[in-house]
Formats: sequence, structure tokens, C-alpha cells
Amino acid sequence: MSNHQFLRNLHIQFIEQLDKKQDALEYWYSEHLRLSGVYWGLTALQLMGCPDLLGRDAVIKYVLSCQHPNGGFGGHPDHDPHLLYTLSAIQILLMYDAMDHINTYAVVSFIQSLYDKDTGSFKGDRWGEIDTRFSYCAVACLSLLQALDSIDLPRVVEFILACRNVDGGFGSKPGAESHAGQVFCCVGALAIVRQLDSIDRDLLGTWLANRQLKNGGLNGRPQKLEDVCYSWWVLSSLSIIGRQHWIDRAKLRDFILSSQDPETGGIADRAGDVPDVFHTLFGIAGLSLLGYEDLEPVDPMYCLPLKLTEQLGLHSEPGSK
Amino acid sequence: MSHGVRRVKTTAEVQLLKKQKEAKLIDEYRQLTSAVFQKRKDLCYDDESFQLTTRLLRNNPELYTVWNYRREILLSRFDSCSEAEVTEACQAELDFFMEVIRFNPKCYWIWNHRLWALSTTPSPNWDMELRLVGKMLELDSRNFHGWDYRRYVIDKICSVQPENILAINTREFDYTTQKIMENFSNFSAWHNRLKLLEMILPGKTLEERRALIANEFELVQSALFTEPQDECGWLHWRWLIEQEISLTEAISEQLATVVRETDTIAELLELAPDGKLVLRNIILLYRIKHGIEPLNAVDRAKVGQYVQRLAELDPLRVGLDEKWW
Repeated sequence: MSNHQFLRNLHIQFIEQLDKKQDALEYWYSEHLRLSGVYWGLTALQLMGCPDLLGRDAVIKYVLSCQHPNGGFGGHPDHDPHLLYTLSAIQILLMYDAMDHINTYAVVSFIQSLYDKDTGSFKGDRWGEIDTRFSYCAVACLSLLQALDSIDLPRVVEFILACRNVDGGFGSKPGAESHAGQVFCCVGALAIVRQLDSIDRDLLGTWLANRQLKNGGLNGRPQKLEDVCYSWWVLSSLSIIGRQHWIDRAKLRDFILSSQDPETGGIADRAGDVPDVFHTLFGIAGLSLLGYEDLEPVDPMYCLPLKLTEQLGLHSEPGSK
Repeated sequence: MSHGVRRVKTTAEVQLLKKQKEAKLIDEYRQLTSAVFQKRKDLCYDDESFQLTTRLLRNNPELYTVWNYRREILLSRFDSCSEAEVTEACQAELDFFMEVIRFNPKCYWIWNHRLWALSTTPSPNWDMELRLVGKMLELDSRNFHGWDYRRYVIDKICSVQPENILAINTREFDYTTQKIMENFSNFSAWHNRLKLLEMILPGKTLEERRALIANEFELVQSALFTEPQDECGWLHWRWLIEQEISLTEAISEQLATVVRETDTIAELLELAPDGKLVLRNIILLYRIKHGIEPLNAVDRAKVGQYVQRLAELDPLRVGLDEKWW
């Protein structure tokens, strides 16, 4: 067993304090993705069983202030709409059961406007970057909005499968090398649209299992360093394809716990580094998937509390084919 | 998101000094940011606004909205510009990319901006782009932005010279040989090599394909014998076996491939008896063999020993190995 304790109270404090760190340069440098920061913090709190610490009304007001007339959300007021932040907005509003505050048709039409019917891919915003990360954002958003029927799903699936490599993993676009973050996006999107049967779970599972290093941590690509955020990208993918037991879960738990900051709370990319809310969520979500620390269960497809996706009728059990 | 930033213990005094210094920087940064966002709200597309975006993006290239604003300013001018002026402005953007990418080689928005400049300039110089990305991959041979960009540039060159596609792909193939010889553990180079082979192989005769695959086996063998604990070579090797087997329908020939490779890997196992990947892949060979023709008792006993040894050596992945045999 591990020498490390899960520092629940410190992590809760760490997240609560985030908005009070205005004397740190990093607070201002990260303004453009604050909406995602709120999603990371809120989800971590919900998984730790304390949903209301950030102040529901204030957060909803903030989320709404990030929305643009075209339906999309920017990472902060005055920052341009992008699929990345649109997903964060929808996730936050759902966690607060506040979807009635927005016009969901506008959001759906924003997402539709970024769909490229020639390839089945999604652009992140009107400037046209294409990446399977955006396929995931679009599919997850539409699913959460109960609007998956508003796009040509077979075509979307076709694009995702065109990004698959012979090692079983997925890249950011056709031809790109496999990367655990992209694997989560592609496998998550395929799971959401119930198209997992088109992948070879054993082949992909082997590639994913090989991401575990001696110290228990997971890396994102061969010959790279371990990082707590891959505890989520790799582990959730393994869970979705029913292969979580292919790695050593106890050692991964130890690795995540060793990356906690015992003084300030929060989790870093690895032991001894500066913690941040991104790694704090993905560390905690990893621990939740592993079934440790008495955390609320997390849905591996959406990175939202399982209770919520079950309520929405969106959760599906992993198959083991 | 901070990656790889170490925690350092400091005294209260040092911390106070740091805070004071930061307070000044924060003040300047916030003033600059609000000036830029105000200009944009006022639909201001003048030189001063443009220069402010330069200053701000130097400071923080993650500000995607400011990149968007910068492009809006440029586009608003291009309507009344000559082709030479547009070319010059785009070249300045390419130079600006070089300035900011050095400190932020993994920032998506900077790479997007380069693609925009090249898609906007009337006469992009793709050969120069190829040389440039070659230099960048010398600095970090695993940067996936760099490799993605390289494939993008090659695509462009191919679309301009469709008659040279084979030669271009062959040259790229040689580039991956060079990268792999520099470092057998360059997964990105192996990946690209495989993608190129997938394009090159179908255009070859059966004999040429056999020769090419035999060559690949030779390269991958050097990699495996040098770095038996490295996944990269193994992934390539596994794919090669599938390729060679798919060249023939004769079971005896398919078995010959498996037996030849089993002998080679058994030799490697003697040199690296604790090699987890060596063991896992020799087991894989028996699985492939079993798929062609059911294994006999001797083979089965051998596999049993390998599986047991692997479980002792690699307790992390016991679940995986149970499934594999």
C-alpha cells in the first residue's frame, strides 16, 4: 500500500483559492482558458462530493458572459468562441442543472457551422484548424445537448477512423502519430455515438497498457515522460474499451498520490512540480475511475460525474469484446 | 496548465521580492491586454493596434483571440494592397512565427498562424518550409507539431508536383532512415516511415515489395538488437510480419516467415533474457503461428514458459498478458 494519503481537504481549499490568486502572473496569463479552468475545478469538487463551493449563481453568470451571439463560447469574456470552451460551458451548465439559461439551438448551430462535410471533421473555430480534439468536443457537446441527430454521424465516425494508426491508437488528423490525448478524444467520441465495434480493442489496449512506466505513471507516447494528466487520457480509454485491468492500478494510484502538493494541495504533472487545476482534476478523475479514495464515480466518456450522465440517460457500460 | 515546473522552497523574504516583481509585470500585462481588447472592440485596425498585438503575443502567445485580431487587421488591409505588399506582410508573419515559436514550440495557435500566413500569401515557398521544419526537428525530433507540419508541407509539394509524388515520398522515406539511424527510439520517425511505406508499397511489383520488406527487416533488426526494450522498433517489426505474410497465400511460406523471425527473436532473447518486450513479442509470434496452423505440444510448452517468465518480469501488465495467451 501507498505511504501517501489523499489530501481531500487541501485539494478542496486549493480549488477554492484559485480565483484569489490574482497576485500571481500565471492567473493573468491563463485568462484565455478560464472557462475550462472553472470546468476542471467544479468537476474536481463534484467528484470530491462538494458541489456548491464556487457559488452557483456567480459561475452561471460568468459562463453566460462568455457566450457570443453565434452561440459559441470563448474562454473568457471578450475572447473568441471556440469548440474547446463551448464544451466546457455546456459541462458546467449541466453540472449546475442550468441549461435553461441558454438557447441550446444557437449552440447546436454554432457546432454545425464548424462541421466540414467534405471530410467529416470539425474545425475548432472559424479560422479552420482541424483536429480530432474538436471532433470529440463537437460530439460530446451535441450528445449532452441531446442533439446528435443534427450532424451526419457516419461521416464523423469515418473521419475519426481515418485518424487511426496500425498501432491501434489515434492521431490528431489522418497521418498523425498516435497520442494518448487523441486516443481519448477518438475513443470517447466513438463510444458516445456507440461505434466502438469498429476498433480493435486488444490492439489499442496493448498500446495503452504499454504507456505505464516503472514508477506506475503513464506517458502519452512511447519514450516520453509520465504525467498525471495521462492518468485520465489513458485510463479512461482503457475503461471505455473494458481493459482497465491491463495495467497495475495500485501503482498508478501511488503515482497520482505522490504528485500531490502536501503544502498547498492540488496535483502536479509529477512529484515535486507545481500543481495546477488541470492536473488536479485529471488526477482526481483517475483516482475515481480506479475506484479509490471514496470519490464520486466519474463517467469515462464525458469526464463528468456518473450520476449526472446516468440522469441524462447518456452513460453506457464498457463492452469487453 | 504547468508542465515540468519544479516546486522550490523559498524564504518569506524571497517570496515577497518575487511578488513585488510580479506585481509590476502583472500591471504592465493587464494594461497591455485591456488596451488590445479595447482597440478590437472599437474595430480599430491601425498600425498601433497591430504593433500592440505584436507586443502582447510576444508576452503570451496563448492568447488565441489576439492572433485572430492580428489576422483581422491584416485582412482588412489586404483588399487595398498589391500582391507584393501582401507577400511582404505574410513574410513578416512568418518571421514573427520564428521569433515566438522558439520559446513556445508546442503552442498550437502559433503553428495555426503560420499555416494561415502560408495559405494567404500569393506564392508560398514550400521547399523553404521543408528546410525550416527539418531544422526544427533537429532541435526536437519528437515535436508532433513539427512532424504534422512536415506532412502538411509534403502534401502541398505533392499537390504542386503530382508527377513527382513517388520521388518525393522516397526522399521523405530516406529522411526517416536518417532520423532513425540518429536515434532508434524516435517513435515519430518510425511512425512516419510506416505511413510512407503504406503509400510506396502498393505501387511496387511483388518482387520489389519483397525486397523493400527484407530491407525493412534488416533495419528493424538493428533497432531491436540495440534497444530491445523500446516499443518503437517492435511496432514496426510486427507490422512488417503482417505485410510479408500478406504477400503470399502459401501456408508453407507464411510459416517460413514466422519461423525465421522466431529464430531471430530467440537469439535476441538469449542476449536479453529479461527483455519484457522480447518475451511478449516472441509469444506474439507463436500466436501468429497458431493462427496459421495449430501449435504442437513442444511449441505450447515453450509458450507456457515464456508467459510465466513474463508474468514474473512485468507484474504491471499481468492482466494484458493473461489475455494474450
